[in-house]
Amino acid sequence: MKTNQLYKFIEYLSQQNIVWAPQKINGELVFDTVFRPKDVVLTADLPLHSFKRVLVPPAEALFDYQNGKLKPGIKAPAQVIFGLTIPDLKAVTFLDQVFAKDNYFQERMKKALVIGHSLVPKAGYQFFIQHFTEDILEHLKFDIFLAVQKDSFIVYTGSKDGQKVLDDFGDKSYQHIEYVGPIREEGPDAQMLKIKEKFYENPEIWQELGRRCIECGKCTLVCPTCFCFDIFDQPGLKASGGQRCRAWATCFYADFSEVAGVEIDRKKPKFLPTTADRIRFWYEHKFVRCPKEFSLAGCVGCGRCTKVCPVGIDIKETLQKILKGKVK
Amino acid sequence: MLNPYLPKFAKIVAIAKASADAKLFTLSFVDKNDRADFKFCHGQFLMLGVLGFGEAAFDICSLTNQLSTFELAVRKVGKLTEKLHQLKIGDLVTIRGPFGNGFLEKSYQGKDLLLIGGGCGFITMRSLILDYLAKKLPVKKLDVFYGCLNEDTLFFKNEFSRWRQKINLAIALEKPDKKWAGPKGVITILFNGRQDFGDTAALIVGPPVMYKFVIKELKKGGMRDGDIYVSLERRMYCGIGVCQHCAIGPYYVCKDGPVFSWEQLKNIPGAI
Repeated sequence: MKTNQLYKFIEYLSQQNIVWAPQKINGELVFDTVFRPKDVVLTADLPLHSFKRVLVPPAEALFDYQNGKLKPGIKAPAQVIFGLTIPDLKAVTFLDQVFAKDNYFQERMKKALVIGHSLVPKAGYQFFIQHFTEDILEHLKFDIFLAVQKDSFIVYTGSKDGQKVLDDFGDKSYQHIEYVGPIREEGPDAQMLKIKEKFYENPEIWQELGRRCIECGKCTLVCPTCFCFDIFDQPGLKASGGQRCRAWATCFYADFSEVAGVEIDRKKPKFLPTTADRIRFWYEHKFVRCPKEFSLAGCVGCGRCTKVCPVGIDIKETLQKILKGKVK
Repeated sequence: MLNPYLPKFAKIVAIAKASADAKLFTLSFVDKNDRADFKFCHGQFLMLGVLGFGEAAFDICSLTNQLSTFELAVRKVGKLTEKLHQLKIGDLVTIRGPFGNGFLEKSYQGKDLLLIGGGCGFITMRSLILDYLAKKLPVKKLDVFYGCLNEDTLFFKNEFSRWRQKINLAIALEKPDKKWAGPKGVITILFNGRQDFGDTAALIVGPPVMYKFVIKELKKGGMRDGDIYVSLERRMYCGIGVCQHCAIGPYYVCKDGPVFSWEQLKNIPGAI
């Protein structure tokens, strides 16, 4: 595909899909639905808010209830998630593992066309940087991948849906890559395993971060892999009707770990009582539980959490401290 | 693909008093296939909900082989449980589960078993006690320690005399009224320097503050870490190890627990 065909391609996709893509709007790089294909930019820079809300919406109905009858709310629009860099494709791949048995997520994944590209973000907030080589593609979930050349793209497909779209668009120059799962042949990432092994060696890390963190939860919002949620009922306007919903949570807020019991000073009893406990919990999820469950880190190294943190907590620094281990 | 978030309906078939501020609900699935499919093991829990009021986790406290109906004891402490207390026989609730890794037979088979329940944690013990009385619990001897605030908040008081014919039930009350002739204080006073725990397994369920002190007594009495089991309480939403609310270190209380051996937990910060 020639570079100058890209806007035509996006226009083509917009005919039957909601298209989400990185765009420069009022000078800001944002990830949002496309109204004018010319706003779309193919860039190595990461929009602060990722694709996450397209696949894992901030709130959704699990089912409707009315007069004692349940109606599951599994529906998804046809959407294109365009312009993902390799870290964000890794996040899509990760979420696909987490929600492998989740009907709601899988329905959205089925109806979504994920299009990635090979531009590598410049070193800065990022870490775990993976440069594009063809052999990483078989471990990433995507429908179409554009390897950026001087004035053209080498086009790869990762699914039948991707092939069909390109066929219909009239570009049959693609190569197909079969997805073989997220883990490389040589096994799970060695650095991830090292972090997991040394995670509890230096508890002072959490005390220090606990003194700085203000529990604002911004990192959990921008993180493309943070996915924890609450489930609650939203009564409707009609009697005996409403929805059971799920919505994003954040482990930094007190209600995340509150339990029933006698209130003291009008506060409910809660686990994770200190800020140090909470920030350790956040890291534990990404670097202990996710590696244990999926052999994948719950972190793709995008650095959005560092960029957004109002008190300058740098995830790269924290990981370096964990790797350093016990301080004698 | 089965949708784990879609609950089943159960009907309330009986309501009894469980303590001054708790009720014992007897429930039965509305659908006969759901009734036929239902089975659980000790220590497992259900997500019980009332449409419009959400869901929460409750331990099942009835006999494990009595399955056409099952029982949950619920204290009135919040929005959902207040609504539950207003419901009447014939009303419907939503049920998901049973979930979790319960208290398995291999943990206590052929040993003496000591159940240590504090406050609401005692509810979990009822299913074990009832199975023991029905000769379905393969233990040599069953001892039960129960720590509670006062007589009013004791669960299942009217069943005690029947239980005491076969088991040793010791109760300590923290703030009893003057008529109370039994032990007064926190649950650890019931240990009384016991040293005979070499061939005993224990299950502890209670408020967070209790575990540390009870485990200390058990270890003093010669119990091995691998024979000490705890059932933990956490906030829960999904019940299937996804939503993260109940995570402790590498584990999920809903999926890897709620029953853990102390061996699994002793090095995990914040577990108890």
